[in-house]
Amino acid sequence: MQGVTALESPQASAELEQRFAEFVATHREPARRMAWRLVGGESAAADDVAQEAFVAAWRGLDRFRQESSLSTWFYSILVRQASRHRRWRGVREAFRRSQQAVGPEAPPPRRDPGLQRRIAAGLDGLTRSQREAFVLVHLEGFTVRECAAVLGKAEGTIKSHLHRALAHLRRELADLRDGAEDHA
Amino acid sequence: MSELEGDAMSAEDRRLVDRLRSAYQPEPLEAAERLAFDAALEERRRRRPLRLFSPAVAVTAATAAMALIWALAWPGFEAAPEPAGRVRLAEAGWTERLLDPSDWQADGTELLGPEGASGSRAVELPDEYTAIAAVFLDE
Repeated sequence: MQGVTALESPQASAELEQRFAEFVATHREPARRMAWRLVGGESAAADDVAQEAFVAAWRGLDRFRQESSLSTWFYSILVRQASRHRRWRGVREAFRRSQQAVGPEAPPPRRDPGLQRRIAAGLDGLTRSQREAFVLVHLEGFTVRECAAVLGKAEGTIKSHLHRALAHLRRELADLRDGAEDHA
Repeated sequence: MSELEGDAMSAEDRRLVDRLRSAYQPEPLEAAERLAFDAALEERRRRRPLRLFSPAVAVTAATAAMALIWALAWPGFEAAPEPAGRVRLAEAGWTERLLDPSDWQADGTELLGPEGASGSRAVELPDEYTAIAAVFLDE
């Protein structure tokens, strides 16, 4: 079975599998959501990033006894995977254009896609560090301390990123503060 | 709600953040989509061999890579081409003479070519060599 060395008993393997299944069930939606927000609102990319992070978590599952440590490590991997995905996005899009592939149509979103594109554009204007800090703290609900642990930075640095990110988004998306209606 | 630990946001900023949070998120997975996600995840787990990069494998691969790089970069034992316009050692067999113990008492005039220290040199030496030779020859 993948993920099991020859030295592990079937019982230990079964326990690891159970732990992993519970971990996925708990973090599937938060991971997808965070990945989606970090890669700029692409569902397929978000699933890809989240699954890669889960595979990495599976490989390291037996190293983490405490769930909190595993979560921090998992989201660190997810943030890195998302960053990597963004870096290669230009190459993928060029390839897709050259292939002129027509994929299956995505179902119509229930939320306002135009508004999401505007927000994505606003977040694209941030530096990578600012975007990651903003998404983790303001959109995903991480504390500054948790965010600092995930990103491997000092809390003061995270606060600085948050301050600048908010200043930028305040300029770019000021009308959203005033409760403009969604264009449904 | 996330904490900023003392860095309170203005009411306007809080409204903005709340708006972004509610608007900027994917649709939650429906049951069938959840199953598809888990199936794709399982497929990735099966495709990825575990512990591919065990320490022993990593060390072996690194050693092999370094050996290959060394083998490809080794220039071999070909003699470097003689630089043009530099030292012309007028006499053949100069290497044998250099290795000859009797030359250890030599005064360095061998490098000045067959005319030695007395006349014009047949050997064209760079200036720094000339200066060094001059030191030994008290020129």
